[in-house]
Amino acid sequence: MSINLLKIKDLRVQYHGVEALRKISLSIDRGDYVGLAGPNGSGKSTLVKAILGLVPFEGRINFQSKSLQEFVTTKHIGYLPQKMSFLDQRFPATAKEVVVSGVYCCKKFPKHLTRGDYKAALQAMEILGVANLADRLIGRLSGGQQQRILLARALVHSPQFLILDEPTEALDPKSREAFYSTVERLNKENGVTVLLVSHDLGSIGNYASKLIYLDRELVFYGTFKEFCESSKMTDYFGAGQHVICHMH
Amino acid sequence: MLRKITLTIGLFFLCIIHATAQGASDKIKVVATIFPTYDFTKQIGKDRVDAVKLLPPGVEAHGFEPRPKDVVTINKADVFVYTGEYMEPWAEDILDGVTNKELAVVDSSKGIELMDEADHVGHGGHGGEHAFEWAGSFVLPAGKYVWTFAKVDGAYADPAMKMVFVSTAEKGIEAIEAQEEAAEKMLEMEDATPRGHGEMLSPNGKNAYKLTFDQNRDVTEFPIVIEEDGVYAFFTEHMPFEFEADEHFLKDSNRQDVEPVAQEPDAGDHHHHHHHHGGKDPHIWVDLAYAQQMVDTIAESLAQKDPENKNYYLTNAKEYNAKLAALDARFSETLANCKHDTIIYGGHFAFGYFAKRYNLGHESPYEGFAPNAEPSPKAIAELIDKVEASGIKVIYHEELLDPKVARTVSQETGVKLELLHGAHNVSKDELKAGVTYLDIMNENYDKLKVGLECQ
Amino acid sequence: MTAIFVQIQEAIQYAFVQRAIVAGCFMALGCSFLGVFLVLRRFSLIGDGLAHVSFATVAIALLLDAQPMVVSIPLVALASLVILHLNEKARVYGDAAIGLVSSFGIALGIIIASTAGGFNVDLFSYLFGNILSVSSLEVWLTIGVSLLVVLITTLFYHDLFSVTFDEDYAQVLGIKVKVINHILIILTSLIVVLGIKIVGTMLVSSLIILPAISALQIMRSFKATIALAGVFAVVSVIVGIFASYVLNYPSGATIVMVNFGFFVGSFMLGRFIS
Repeated sequence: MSINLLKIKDLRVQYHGVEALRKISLSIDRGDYVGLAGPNGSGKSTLVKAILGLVPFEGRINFQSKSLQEFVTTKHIGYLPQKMSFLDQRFPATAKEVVVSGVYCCKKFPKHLTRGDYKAALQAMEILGVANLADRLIGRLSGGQQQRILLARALVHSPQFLILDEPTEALDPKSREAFYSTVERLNKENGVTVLLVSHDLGSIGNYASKLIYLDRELVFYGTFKEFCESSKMTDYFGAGQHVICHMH
Repeated sequence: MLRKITLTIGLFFLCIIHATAQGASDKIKVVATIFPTYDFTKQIGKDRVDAVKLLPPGVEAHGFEPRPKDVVTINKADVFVYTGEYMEPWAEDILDGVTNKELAVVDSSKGIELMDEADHVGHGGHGGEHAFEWAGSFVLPAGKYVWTFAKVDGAYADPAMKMVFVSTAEKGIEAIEAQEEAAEKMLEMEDATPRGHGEMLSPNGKNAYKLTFDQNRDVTEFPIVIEEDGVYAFFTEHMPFEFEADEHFLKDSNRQDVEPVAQEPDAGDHHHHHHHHGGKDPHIWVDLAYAQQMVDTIAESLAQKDPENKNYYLTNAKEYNAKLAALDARFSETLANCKHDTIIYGGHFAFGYFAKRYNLGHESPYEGFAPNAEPSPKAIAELIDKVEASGIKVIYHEELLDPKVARTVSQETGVKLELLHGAHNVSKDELKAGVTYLDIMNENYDKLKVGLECQ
Repeated sequence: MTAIFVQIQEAIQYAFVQRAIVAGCFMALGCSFLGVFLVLRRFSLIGDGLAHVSFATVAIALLLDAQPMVVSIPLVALASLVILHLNEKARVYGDAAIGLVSSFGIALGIIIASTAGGFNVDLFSYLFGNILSVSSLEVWLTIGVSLLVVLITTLFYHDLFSVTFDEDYAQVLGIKVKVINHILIILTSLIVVLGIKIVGTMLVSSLIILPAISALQIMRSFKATIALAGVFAVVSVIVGIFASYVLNYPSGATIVMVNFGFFVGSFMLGRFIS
């Protein structure tokens, strides 16, 4: 019996007069591992931003049956953002300080960190196997380690829903593998619902059970099996469909 | 018909007005750089000259740099008056660029001998750690000696100087070190025994001597009588070498040089050592005698440029100089009988020539005239100490600048803050009110009379 | 050594030295706390930049015959907001935004000064303060502003950290990024305006930049960086003032030199640690 977590109905987002997303409707159940793919500029990040309440939208987004207003605090959602450009090698913060900052989502003013918060941070880092890096400076860690620290930051407040936006772009294949297996573990063992955004259908194919294909509007949403058997998709992708399905 | 008449009359009047305007602009244009020269020019030329001051009101004079418009103004003028190369170092460059060959350039410091920045230093103005600039110990057998002070380049390095003369049990450099503290105290005391040319000096453990040099002589001599063989220490406010022309400063009865066995500071070749700090003091206008000279120089130039009004200018100059001379006399008389003989100044001391003229000393926490220089805390502390030691009730500050240091000293010691206006420049309000150089100096007279507690 | 100690004892007898130390220490604390955030966000030169703007605001004030501080504080706060908006909206880099506003300020000041037909006082001397000429009122003002800065940076520490580290993620966390940025920049403009008037531009600018970058040489954690910057700043003031007394140098410049010395020291220490 699948419990609905996220329900999107008739979502429409306009950016500077351009329609970034048009009439998106879909729902995600608890425990799903959903991939979100589409070409560049197709609105993947926009969809994520809408779910996170960072952009104004028309239509409805319900999270656990509660309607998401703009700029609501993301208590139940963990987010690993796409860019890593801010990670200045010289930034003077330890991994622990970065991870624990994830709890600020759920604190009221004046935000005071408790010992419980630090414990949660360490636990999140343990799950991701980076607890030993707690007092190391974040700028000095490798790309893979940094990604896992940021993932720990996303998880520290024990969210039910994890959104990963192009998480492995800058990683080498080995780190990429390690990262994805961790996420898989979170999904299968800890029951975290995952939305993985990637323009690389191949990666999605290896891990996700469902696929959203976006091109400003919803081109496809369903299981991978449905994707491979869909003649509509054959028309749309041509030979590409075969490649993707073969990998899965 | 009526219209024609009105038009003709109108035109006629217009011509008259234009003619008078032309006549009015037949006045010679004089551009002066800073306030004193501007004011002198106006006093000489009155309404027969068009006087312009380059320095905008309220602006600090030493940092001024002319703008393009100023160059044009100078170029269009008949006469350009400046104060001298040390006050307006930019003048020469600008004049190179001026194309007007008819421009009469007046260096109002002509004929005035400038003194070095440091030469007029009063008591301890070097901001050093001691009240004395030089100390020496001598082994003197009993007998007669003469200590001489000579004019150098036509003037004494200082019109007067304090000296401490003590006998000591120690020898060499220890003699100086042992007596240092006592000597400092004596030098800082208000009370000093005055001595003039030919008056005898003997070892004095009570207070310092104040030696005044005879301006009518090239050399001032002080006989010294030593009763007992022994070691004697001297502490002076200036280096004795500053007063050496051709001869050594201390000789015995056989006219033989007597050298110190130890001295402080211990530099190498002292002889004919002149105390130059590089620049010269440019503030000649604060000396009322020099001011008169400046007035004459300017008047001469105006007369040459505008011979029609020659008598007018020369007469005005004479009248004005008489006023300056009268004020000079007042200053002389009053400042000779003051309880305090030192001006405590919280800014850059521009009154060097003034102080020299009336035999006053001064204390300031600044060396030189760079307006952006900051004082060290020790200099401020010393100023505070001097105020407290002297019992003076006033600290003076300069015009137009925020008197930060003076205020600090005033807060610490409780003495009053008073303006001693250097007349470099005036404020916008002062300019509007038509304040003159004489007004300023008269105010200064009042302020000094009260502050120095004169009769 | 004892001679130095004697001189220090001598120095501290004077009220103006005591005031210099108190005002200097509090100014150092406030500036260095903000300095860490400002340096990391490429706003290091905001001290100098706002000083140039102050020049224009004082010129305006004197022109209107008004009290300089009354005109300066709001106008400089406004200029700082312009810098912030240039950075956010017009996507101008922090230091370039400062440069833009700063050159505008100085040019405006010069034009006003030229066309005003002169003033009643010399602008510069009234604009720039000196640590040795701090009045009692200024001491209290410095204590007040610095305690305000410390209080606000403490209360908003975590928000400031998040925004400085990752502005986008801070927004996701529900932090009001715009508000935090405004708080940071307005606090800065307040302490800079007062600092310029009380201790002078050179000292304010140096106390913002130098202790922060010295602390950044020894990177332990973010909290440690802020604490270390504060320590460097306060110690530099105390050492600087006493050193300037003993050596007979101007105090402001000596304090800056001490800060530079700390930088060299922590640079070498940082190398040694890593």
